[in-house]
Amino acid sequence: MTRTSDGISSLLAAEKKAVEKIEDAKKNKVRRLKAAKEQADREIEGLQREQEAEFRKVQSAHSGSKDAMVQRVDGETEARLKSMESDVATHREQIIARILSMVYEITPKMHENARFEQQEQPAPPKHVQYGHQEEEPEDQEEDQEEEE
Amino acid sequence: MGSKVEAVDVNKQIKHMMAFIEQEANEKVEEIDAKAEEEFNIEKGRLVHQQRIKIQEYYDKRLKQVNLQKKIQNSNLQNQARLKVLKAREDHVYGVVEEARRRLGQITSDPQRYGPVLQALIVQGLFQLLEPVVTVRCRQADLSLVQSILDSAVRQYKEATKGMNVQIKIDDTFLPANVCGGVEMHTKGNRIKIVNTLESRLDLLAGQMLPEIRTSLFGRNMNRKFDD
Repeated sequence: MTRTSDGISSLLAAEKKAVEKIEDAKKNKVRRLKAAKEQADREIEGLQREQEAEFRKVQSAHSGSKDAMVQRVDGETEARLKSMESDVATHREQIIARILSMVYEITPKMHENARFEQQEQPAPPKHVQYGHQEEEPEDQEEDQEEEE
Repeated sequence: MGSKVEAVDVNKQIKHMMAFIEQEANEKVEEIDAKAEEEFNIEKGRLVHQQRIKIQEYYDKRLKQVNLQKKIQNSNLQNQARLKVLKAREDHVYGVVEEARRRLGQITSDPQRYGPVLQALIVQGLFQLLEPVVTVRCRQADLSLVQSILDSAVRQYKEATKGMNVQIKIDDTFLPANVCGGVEMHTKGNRIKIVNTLESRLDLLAGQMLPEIRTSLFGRNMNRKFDD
């Protein structure tokens, strides 16, 4: 009897051991899945840091080039302004003289549509007079004769 | 009580069964382990891939922004530079006009030249007014010069109008001393007024001459298509 029960208990023990083994394997599987997430997170973090570093590099390159560009544009502008100044200095007097000559040169012209009929008149009245202007020409002539 | 043979047999059988159980268990464990690894790799790969795409998109966007900003800054710089140059040009042009304005009065010290100018200014006014009585207002300093040319002015007027007469009076109010030269003329009791001072002439002329001034100072603008 003892031998049979020995045998049976051995089998039971083996069965138990087998079940435990399988349970362990299943637990391990769960742990592996968890580990997958953790590892993935770490890898992603690494990627993120990499990309950030790349990006920062580009950014600082950009701001560096900006300064260079500002300098270049400023330089070009200065050059253009200087050449403008020298152009102006060369031609300034000439154009000022031309403006003044145009101011002083006056050719009085009658309106192109004005029409006149030949007038017959006695000698024109003396015109130099001091004093305020009167409304009627006739009155003025009277005053004029008085002044004269 | 069983025989020795039976005992050995049973043992053997039991041993077989135990081995069988163990083998079955090992196989199952192997299967589970293999599946675990597979799922591990799939899950990890999926998560990483997913996030990698997001990260990529994010930094692509930021890079685009940076580039766009660069272009905008560049464009602004160029713009400012152009405006600066244009403003300097205009300043030069108006500087020239201002200088001319400052020198306007020069001619008044030369009666040989100034006399005919005054005469022409007055005649121009007469042609515009076409009135029988006209008052001329000049600077006090120009009084005698004006008086000396009035006759010729009237003669010019008479000729151009085929004999019309005009009576010219000189106003006893003079033009203020800060006027460089020239005359004002009015008629009908100040109702019609003509300003023919040197300043007013310069203002009119300068406005019309701006293109000529620019071309003289800076040369012809090769970008300009129409010159009328």
